[in-house]
Amino acid sequence: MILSVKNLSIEIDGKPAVRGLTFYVAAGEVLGVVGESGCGKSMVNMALMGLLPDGVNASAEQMEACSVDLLRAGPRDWRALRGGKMAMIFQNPMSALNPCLTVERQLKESVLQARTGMSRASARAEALRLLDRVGIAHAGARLKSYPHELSGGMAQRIMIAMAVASAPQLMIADEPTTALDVTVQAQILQLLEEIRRDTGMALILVSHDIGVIEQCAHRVQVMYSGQIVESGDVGEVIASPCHPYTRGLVAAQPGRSGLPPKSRLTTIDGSVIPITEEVEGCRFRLRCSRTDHRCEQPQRMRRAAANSYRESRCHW
Amino acid sequence: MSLVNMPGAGANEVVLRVENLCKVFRLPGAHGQAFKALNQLNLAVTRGRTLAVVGESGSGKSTMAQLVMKLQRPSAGRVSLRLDSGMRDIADLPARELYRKIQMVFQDPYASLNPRQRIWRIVSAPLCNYERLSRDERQQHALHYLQQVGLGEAQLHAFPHMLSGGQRQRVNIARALATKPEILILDEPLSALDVSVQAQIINLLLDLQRDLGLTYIFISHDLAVVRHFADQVLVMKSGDMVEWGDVDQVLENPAHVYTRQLLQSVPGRLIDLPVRTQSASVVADG
Repeated sequence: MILSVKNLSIEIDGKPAVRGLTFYVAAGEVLGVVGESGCGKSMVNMALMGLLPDGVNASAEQMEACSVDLLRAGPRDWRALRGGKMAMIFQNPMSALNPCLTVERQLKESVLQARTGMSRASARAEALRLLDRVGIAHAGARLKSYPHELSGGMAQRIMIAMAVASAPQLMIADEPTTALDVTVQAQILQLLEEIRRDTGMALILVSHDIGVIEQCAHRVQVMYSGQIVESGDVGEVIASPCHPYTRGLVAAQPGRSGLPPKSRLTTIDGSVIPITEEVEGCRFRLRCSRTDHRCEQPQRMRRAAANSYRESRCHW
Repeated sequence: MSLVNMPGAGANEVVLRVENLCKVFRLPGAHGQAFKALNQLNLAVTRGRTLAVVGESGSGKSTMAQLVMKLQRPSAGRVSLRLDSGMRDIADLPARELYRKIQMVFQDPYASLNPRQRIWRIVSAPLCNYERLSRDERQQHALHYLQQVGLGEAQLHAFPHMLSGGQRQRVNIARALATKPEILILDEPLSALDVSVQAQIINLLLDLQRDLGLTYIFISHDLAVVRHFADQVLVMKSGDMVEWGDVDQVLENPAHVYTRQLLQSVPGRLIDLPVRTQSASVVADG
């Protein structure tokens, strides 16, 4: 396992937000994470990278990435991990790059961080190779560019080049294509897939777009209000969701609803409860169309089928 | 191009017509180059129907919306609107008359509401251009339009920051409805919203169209939504009209290579293409 997390909980100012997440990622695997804003997706990523802000604390029974115990990792271990065995790319590539520095400066920084002691000339050569790897034409000229001279897709390619500079074993991509056009999105997703295939790295792909997850991921976990509510093989989960929230999410997509054009779409009533709010029993209960007394008890993940690893946090 | 062949032209009444519309911007700098944002656009929109405009960023979708709303002046060409007296060029229409007929809902519900005004003020503000209203009257009008979009008294005195993204977009729609327009320009009204909230807003827009007979120009990059929501679609690329027609026809049988490329880029299995070819290959963009 490249990453295994057992019972990860995150508290904001002492209030529970993310509640007991257990999941794993194997080498070469793409784990898709789906959920709406405010469900805790990004907070989990930040915890995995040791980047939680002050006042936000993570605790877990086990949290191990690339054979390093993250619970016991000190500042030095974290520095070696980030931009080393683990890398992360963000939603908005434009704000992730430093606007005052050329692509060359920023890319070489990543290269030198990964391989200390490398000469400047060979760092430049490596930067050129990386740009070439992520499909940027005229790499030599591009090295001199500043971020504002790049298109969104180009900037995201450079973020990916910086991320793969250290040949990471695990890459976390937090909504990597949300800010991009649909044609550019397709190119970036394909690039990530190629890199994964060539290097065998594991990828955690976070998105609110079920289509993106369906296309790219092997397994998916659906998050709702700080919990995983369903997980399993991506095709199975989308084709026949077990949890009512997943079912609602899938049905709310116009392309999947199976309804005739111009008819009303199926929606999930109400809105997401704040992640720090306490709810007795199932956290989806107040929006669910099918509830009984059992829903007043906290729900645990259950095996949904005998010979499958599909799980759902619903007793029905 | 003859009028009969324009997108949207049909048996029904044309309420908005765009003829040879061009917009050229001058790029910054003393000797800035001319940038053609919109090139010879022709279209006609029929009453009670939805025309979707799709294309990637920089294709001229929003420029078109701004020209139709008279927020920018065209470099050439004209936009005309049906009034009781017949088709009139919007360049000759006073703002008061124009905005009675046509209103706009903007993309970002977080940026498009004044954070310092209460909701009733925001929603009833357009009305103050037409008549003198007391505070009570304004609140009554605001409540009426809020109820039309599924909100109510609870939101009347709230500030925008107290509302969720979906509620804010409803407020935006209520504000657009306040002058009782016939045409709404929806500039990516869903792209800042979560999936389940998107579905709620789509339902609201469908209900309003059915109940009030509204005509929509729906700017979007989401082809799955377009297919569900629109009657006709116009595909744009770098300021040019690439393809247009009935949604079924264009999305199931794309004639232009760019439309096909757009369709193939839709992730997952949201839209099934009749012709399965290799998905877009990796080439440097820009």
